[in-house]
Amino acid sequence: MPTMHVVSLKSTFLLLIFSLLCGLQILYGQTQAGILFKLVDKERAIWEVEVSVEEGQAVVADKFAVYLADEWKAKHREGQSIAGRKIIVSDTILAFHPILPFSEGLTYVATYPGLNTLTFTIPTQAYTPTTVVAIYPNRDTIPENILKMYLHFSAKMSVGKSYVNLCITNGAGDTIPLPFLDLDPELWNENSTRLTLWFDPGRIKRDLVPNQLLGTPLEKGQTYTLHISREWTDAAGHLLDRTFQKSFYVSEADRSTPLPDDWDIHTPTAQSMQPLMLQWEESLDEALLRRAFSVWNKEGQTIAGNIELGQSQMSWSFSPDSPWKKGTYKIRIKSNLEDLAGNNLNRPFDRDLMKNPGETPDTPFYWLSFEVK
Amino acid sequence: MKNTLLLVLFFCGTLLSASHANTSEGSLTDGFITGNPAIKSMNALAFGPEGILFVGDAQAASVIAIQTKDITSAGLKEGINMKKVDEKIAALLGAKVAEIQIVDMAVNPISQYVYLAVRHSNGTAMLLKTDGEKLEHVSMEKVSYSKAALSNPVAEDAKDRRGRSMRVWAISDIAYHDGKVMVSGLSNEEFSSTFRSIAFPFKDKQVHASLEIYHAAHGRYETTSPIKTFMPFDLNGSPHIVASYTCTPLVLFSMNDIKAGEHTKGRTVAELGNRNTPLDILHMQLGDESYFLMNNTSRPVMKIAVSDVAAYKDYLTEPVKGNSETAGVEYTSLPYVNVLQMDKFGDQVLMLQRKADGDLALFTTKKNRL
Repeated sequence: MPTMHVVSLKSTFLLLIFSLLCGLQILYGQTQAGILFKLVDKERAIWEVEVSVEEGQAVVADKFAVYLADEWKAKHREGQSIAGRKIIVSDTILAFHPILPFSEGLTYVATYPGLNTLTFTIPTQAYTPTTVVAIYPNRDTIPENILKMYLHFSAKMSVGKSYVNLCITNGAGDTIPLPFLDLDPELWNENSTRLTLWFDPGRIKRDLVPNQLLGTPLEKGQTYTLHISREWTDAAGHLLDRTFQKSFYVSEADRSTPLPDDWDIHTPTAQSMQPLMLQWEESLDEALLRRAFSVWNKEGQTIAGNIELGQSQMSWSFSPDSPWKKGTYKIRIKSNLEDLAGNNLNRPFDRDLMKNPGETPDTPFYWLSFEVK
Repeated sequence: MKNTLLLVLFFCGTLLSASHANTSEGSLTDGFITGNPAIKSMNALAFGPEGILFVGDAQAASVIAIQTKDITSAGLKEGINMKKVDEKIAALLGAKVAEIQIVDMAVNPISQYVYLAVRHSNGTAMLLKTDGEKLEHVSMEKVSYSKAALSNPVAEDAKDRRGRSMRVWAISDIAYHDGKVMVSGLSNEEFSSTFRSIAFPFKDKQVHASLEIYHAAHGRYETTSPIKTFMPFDLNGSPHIVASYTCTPLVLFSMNDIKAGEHTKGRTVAELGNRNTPLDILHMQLGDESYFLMNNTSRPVMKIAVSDVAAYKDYLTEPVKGNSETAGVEYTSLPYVNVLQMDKFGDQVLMLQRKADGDLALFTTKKNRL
């Protein structure tokens, strides 16, 4: 009996405390002191973590710390806290914005003395897997001394991981050892959606040690396949949609400079909106083609219009914004335009001085002209 | 075995007249402004005088000089020995180890604090600094800085459908020497590089020198090649640059030979082996002799006597014989493999090395071990 009496007294005491706490919360109408994490930007999936202390107290930025849960556990409830900005929301509320947004799937621990530690995991969002949208050159036959490839992705990719996620196999299925240059920095466009790959130039250049010992990465007459691993994560850390492959046949080395004088010009007629077209006998570099040409009228002004590249980058066409007028026009071509083997308009990639002694031209532009009738 | 090098120089101004830009009184940081320099990428780091850190930002096509205000010695003369650097960085940034990449490393010669340019796989660029055995983040929100745009004289680039240029000059190295910031960059489209020299303090009107490199393999095949890494240094009181290219030859040229609009011949002094890209070059005085130290993607740290380079008078013009994987000036391999970053740390060398057990270690090596 005495025992029951004690229990009853204890329960009454706890009930009293609980009622008092509830009353306080109703009285002040505010969030209870504690730590919570919340989604602050749904579109970009940005989370923040916030600490609230009781009314009448002031929140102290230095006391609030957020850790990777693994670090917290491994270092026995301390270790390296995450760097970030602490923003005073009010006297009693402090928000923490990490330098890097909290990552999907990772678990974190937030601590503040006197409050319960919060362990939280950032939930995984629905996403559209990133794909390889284009590989240039896109033709099936490439020269033995090919210098570059461009890989285009549908979304921003992670940087610094190309070398381990790419390989080339030969017809027997064997992997070609290190065909690409392990380049740091990797050559991405600003948005990290296009990667430029270089075949090892030391192996392509005739007579350099790597070329003499190993030869070119690809051999004439063979068929190869480029494999892009699904494990290559995009910038959000997600795997690619699938593994991508492209096969190609290797033809003879190309050691000649492109010669604009040999190109065909398909001229439009006056008063028409017909496209102007240039055509040549080999594939040229896709990226450089897009900015190699400008069309000039006889007054020396450039003409506005849209460009399109033809199949296998063997032609270029230009549709003007306004109709052509009778008269002479000029096409200006940048001399740094390259073919697939890195030969540009001024010089071949590796010039044989025995066959072509003397200086190479150093002109920034070449010109072609055509008559609109 | 010999090899010829032609340096073709395109000057947009007079480089040499800018070489003593800082002769007036006052601090180099007088013209700096305070704020956020809005750095998009950190591709290369280098320290100048007065604790000024130069950051090469390829995405924003600019070089930013940051006044670190880190100008007192931290008293770390004994050196550094930090283990699991990648795990420590991941803990500091709240990220996975696999998402973190150390892009470049520079030691402040005054304080001997180590600065690391770190990139998350989502592209975020961050600057970290060592504090003893700990790492801390260096906020860019309110810093004293000065910025120079890397202008391109032929900048009529095509835009993608959203109006952005696809072309980037990826900054491969940066260095400060005698009033000039030098930057090497690779194009992500044409196979070429720029080598720029920008007078510091940065002026509104910049003086740029762009340098394109040609070299010939054994006197027969002349090619161009982008610079991967370089280092300015004084050889017998005369300013020189030693540079290595993406196709591995090591080339030496004198800054005094650089004349506006003229083709200058440099010297290829060595080929450093297959499937190998040099990462950093240092210049160290070891006893009576000075040396270049180079770390590489697939070879140990190499030690090359500067006197051998200086005495190597002939171009490499003879074809390689036998099965030699390297040619030109002799070098010694030091017992340090997988050294990803390297810089001077007082009279020691600081290395960031991936050890055989997978640990990423940051440690100093004393002279007698080099």
